[in-house]
Amino acid sequence: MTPELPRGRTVLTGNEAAAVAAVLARAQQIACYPITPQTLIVERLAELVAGRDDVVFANLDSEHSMFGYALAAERAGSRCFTATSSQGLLYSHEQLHRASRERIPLVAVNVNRSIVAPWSLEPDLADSISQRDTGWVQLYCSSGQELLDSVLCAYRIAEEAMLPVLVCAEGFLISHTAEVVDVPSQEQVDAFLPPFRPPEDWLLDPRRPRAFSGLPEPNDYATYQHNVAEAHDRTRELLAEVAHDFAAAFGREKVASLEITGDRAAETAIVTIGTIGETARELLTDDEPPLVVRVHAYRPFPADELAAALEHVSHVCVIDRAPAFGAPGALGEDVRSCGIPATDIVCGLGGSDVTPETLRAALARSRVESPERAAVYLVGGA
Amino acid sequence: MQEMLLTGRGGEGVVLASQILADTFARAGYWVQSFPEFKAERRGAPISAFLRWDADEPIRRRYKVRECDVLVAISASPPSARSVAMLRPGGLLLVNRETRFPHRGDYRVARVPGSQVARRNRILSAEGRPMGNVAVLGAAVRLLLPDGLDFLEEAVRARMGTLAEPNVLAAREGYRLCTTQHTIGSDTPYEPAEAPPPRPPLPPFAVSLTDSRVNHTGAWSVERPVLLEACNVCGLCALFCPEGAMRRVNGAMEIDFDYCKGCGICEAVCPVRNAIAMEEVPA
Ligand code: SF4
Ligand code: SF4
Repeated sequence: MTPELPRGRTVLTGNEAAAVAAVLARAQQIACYPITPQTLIVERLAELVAGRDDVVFANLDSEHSMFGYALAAERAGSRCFTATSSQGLLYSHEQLHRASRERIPLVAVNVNRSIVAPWSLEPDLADSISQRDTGWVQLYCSSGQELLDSVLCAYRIAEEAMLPVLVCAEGFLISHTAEVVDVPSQEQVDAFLPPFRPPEDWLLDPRRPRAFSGLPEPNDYATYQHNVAEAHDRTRELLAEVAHDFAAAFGREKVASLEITGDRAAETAIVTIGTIGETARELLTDDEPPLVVRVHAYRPFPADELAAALEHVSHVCVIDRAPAFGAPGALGEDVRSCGIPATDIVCGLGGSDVTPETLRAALARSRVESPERAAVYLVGGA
Repeated sequence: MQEMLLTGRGGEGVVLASQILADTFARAGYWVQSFPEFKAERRGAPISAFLRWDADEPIRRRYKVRECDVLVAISASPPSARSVAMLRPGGLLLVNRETRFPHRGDYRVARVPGSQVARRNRILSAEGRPMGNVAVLGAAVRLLLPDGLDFLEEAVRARMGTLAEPNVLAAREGYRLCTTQHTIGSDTPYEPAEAPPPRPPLPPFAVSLTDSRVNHTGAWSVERPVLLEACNVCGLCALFCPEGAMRRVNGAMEIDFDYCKGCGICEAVCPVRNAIAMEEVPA
């Protein structure tokens, strides 16, 4: 018997919220391979769709096959869902590139987990941040509610932009944390998210065999890459549009690209991503509160919005939750690419706890050290 | 620096010829660069290779040759008008022909009966066609590096293994039989390349707009399978056929020669003796 979906104000873990969102989005095919800390998403999905003949639940032999399956199923016209973590995402790397360049509107959840070596099941963002150049739209969440909401929005974004969307949520901090999540009704979701109707020219149709991604002339190859870049550029506006529609449909605000809290006239800003953005809000009651900017949409990077938000700030401290080797951290680089001088602090690696104290220490370090070519690491329980 | 375009068809050894010639120039002390035009290569498709050489300096440019000083047509068929249009004024056109090249233009023409030399020396492709590439190189060396025949022989030996000996003979013959036409301007000009039809707009997604079934891969084949007495219609060959050209119909195997490209996989996988064989495609 298929269990009922939770409904209304209910207590769910992040993994459960992601699974519920996939069902509400009417994913027609679910491609699975387990990996901690994501496994509970697919386990819960297996329960939720058991016995339903309108959903294909496919167990694959690896993450690489899982993405391959999902891309093909999308191409054949099914809305798909998949989820992974860490090594699983890395193992899928070439499929990720293929997804964006084939313009496949797949939605996947990545439960962030740090990368071996050494082994760790704990979160940092290195797995998905290191996929930033694969052409996926990347959304980073800071709560179970935002994870559920972002999965729903992700299908709208993906299918309108014809780009894949990776919805990221830190392992354990979100995936295994049970909290209040407001689950919308199926009717509400159906009104917000129309059925998947991809363009005819793109669809795999056995009655009309055609060559897919065949060898084009070099200049045509270049044009197709440019098309992906343009689709990303258009997605900046789309993100705002979808967030606006979401708020209208569900009566709940949705962050589009950036969440900005505090006084824009503050002297200092913290720019960060993921759950650290929530923790950073505790600094808003400090004597000299910083402006807190949480990046939700990491790709496409909201450069103009960020530059506008930081216009009056004289000191910017970027918190990167992913290691940086031989160059500054990824988020730090992105911020500087907007013409904003910023100091890059790396912390929270491998699940190291990030508290308001950590962030105060980061701010202090960022004032005395401002290397241009490297990130400052805050390690050893600072 | 001098630049050369070598043209021909897949399977005629165009790319190998450009490498042997590069090696020849290098042995003579030149800086060289040889590279093919990368395409999905297959037998019979038009192929280009490029060669640059310079007596004094290493060659640093990494883009394709757009204009050339020398055009070498490895195929016995005449070079395309598009290739001839790439020749710089006063350039050299070397053709693999016995007869005079009948067109005039602002270039010198040389010719060598490369295919005949190959046939005489029994240098044949798998399909039995003469491979005139090295004989043409003999002629090229006579024109461009007259003291370089020994270097060409060394390069042929270094790169052709067991096929080296007949090819060394072919190189020498090509060198000897190369003739230059002095009568420029006596005949009809080469027809300018027909303007290619305007390209249809690029489809929005990298998916062809046309039905794949219009791509008749049967046109590629030089051999084709014939079914023989012992075929028990097990259907194994059809499973392996990469073109989906075989089917079991009413208790017999059927081959669709519009799509059979002659790869021979069906014959290779057939477990039954005397069930299937490859034969030459009738002309
Ligand atoms: S040709 Fe060989 S493999 Fe093909 S059906 Fe006949 S017996 Fe079987
Ligand atoms: S030769 Fe190749 S393409 Fe033709 S029928 Fe046999 S397997 Fe198929």
